[in-house]
Amino acid sequence: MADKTKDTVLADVDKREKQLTSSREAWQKTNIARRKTKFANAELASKDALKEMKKPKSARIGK
Amino acid sequence: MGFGAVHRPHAIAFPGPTYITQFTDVRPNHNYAEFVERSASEPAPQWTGVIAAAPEIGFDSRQLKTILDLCTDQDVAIGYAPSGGTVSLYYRKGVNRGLREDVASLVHDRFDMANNAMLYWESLSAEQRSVAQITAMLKAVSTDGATAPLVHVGSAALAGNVAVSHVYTLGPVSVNGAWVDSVISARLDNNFTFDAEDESGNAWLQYYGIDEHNPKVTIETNDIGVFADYGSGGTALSSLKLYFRKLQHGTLGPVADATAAHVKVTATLGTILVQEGSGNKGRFRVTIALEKPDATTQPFVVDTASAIAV
Repeated sequence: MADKTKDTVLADVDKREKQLTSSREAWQKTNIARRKTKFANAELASKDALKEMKKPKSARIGK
Repeated sequence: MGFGAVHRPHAIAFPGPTYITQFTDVRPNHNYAEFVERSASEPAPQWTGVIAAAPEIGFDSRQLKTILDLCTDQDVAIGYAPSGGTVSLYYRKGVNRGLREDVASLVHDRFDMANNAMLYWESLSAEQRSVAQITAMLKAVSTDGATAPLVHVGSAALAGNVAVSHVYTLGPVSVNGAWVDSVISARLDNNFTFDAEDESGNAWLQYYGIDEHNPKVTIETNDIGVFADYGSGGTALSSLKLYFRKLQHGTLGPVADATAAHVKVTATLGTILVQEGSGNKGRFRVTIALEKPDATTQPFVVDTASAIAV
C-alpha cells in the first residue's frame, strides 16, 4: 500500500465503483424479471379477493 | 380466616346461546377512576372515593371461529343492547383435596352483563409450531349511567359444555397473488380507538363505540427476498389472503388445504412495507396497513370456513 501512488488508489476506487454499479444494474434487471414471474397472478388474485369481500357474512362462516 | 377455593374461568355465554370455553386468560376489570381529597396542608387523604367506572372483561382465546362468527358488525364487533340479551362470564369452583365441583352444582360464580355488552376482537395471531390466539374484549355499558353494567352473581350453576370446539395454527400468507416464503409468525391488529362517554355526573360508562379502526397485518419471515419483492419504497397491496390453519383432532398436522375449515382474512388495498430485521438468523418484518376498497366495503373480511389457495 505504501508503494501506491494517489493515482493508483483512485483508479482502484473507480474500478470498484464500476463493479458495484454493474452488479446493481444486473440485479435490478434480474429482479424485475423475477417479480414479473412471481406476481404474474396479481391481477387475477385481486379480482378474486374483491369478490370474496363482497360475500355476505353468512357465506363466510360455513352456513 | 380460611382458604375457600380456587375458581377458574369456565365459559362466556352469549345469547343464542353460544359459549366460549377455550381461554388462555380472562381479565375482568372495573377500571375504577379513584380520587382522593385532602385539606390543603394535609399530606394524607381525608376523603377517598370513585368518580367513575368502565367495566370490561378482556380475554385471550383459542376459539377463533366462535368469536369471529359472533362479530357481525364489519367482522370485528357486535353489540348486545338494548335488548340483545345477557352475556355471562362463569367461574368454576375447584375442590379442596380434589378436582372440580360438578357443573350442575350451585356453588359456582357468574358475572352478568344484562342487555348492555359490546364484544370486539383486538388481534389475531399465530407463530410457527404454536396455537393461534385471538384477543378480545367485552365492554359493559350501563343502560342509564346509574345501573351497574357488570353484576357479580354468586351461587350459580354453570352453563356451557366443557368442550374444545376447534384449534388453529399459523397458515400461509398470499400477498398480491404470490405466497410469502418462510413465514414464521403472522398477526392482524385492529388498532381501535374508542369513544367512551358518560354524562350528568353519572358514574358508569354510558356509551362505547369504535372511533377509529386502523387494521394492520404484521408478518415475520426468514426470507430476505421480501426486500426484493416489495422494495425499499414499499408496494401497494392488491390482494391479501392471511390464513390460520385448522389443526386435526387426534392426528398429525393441519386439516387438508382443500377442506373448507380454515380461517382466512382477505383484503384488497393497503401499503406493504418491509420494516425491519433482527436476529442472527435474520427475521424480517413485513407490515401491511389495510384500507377500505370502496365506501361500502370494510378494510378486510374474515371467512371461517375457507379452503387454502393462493
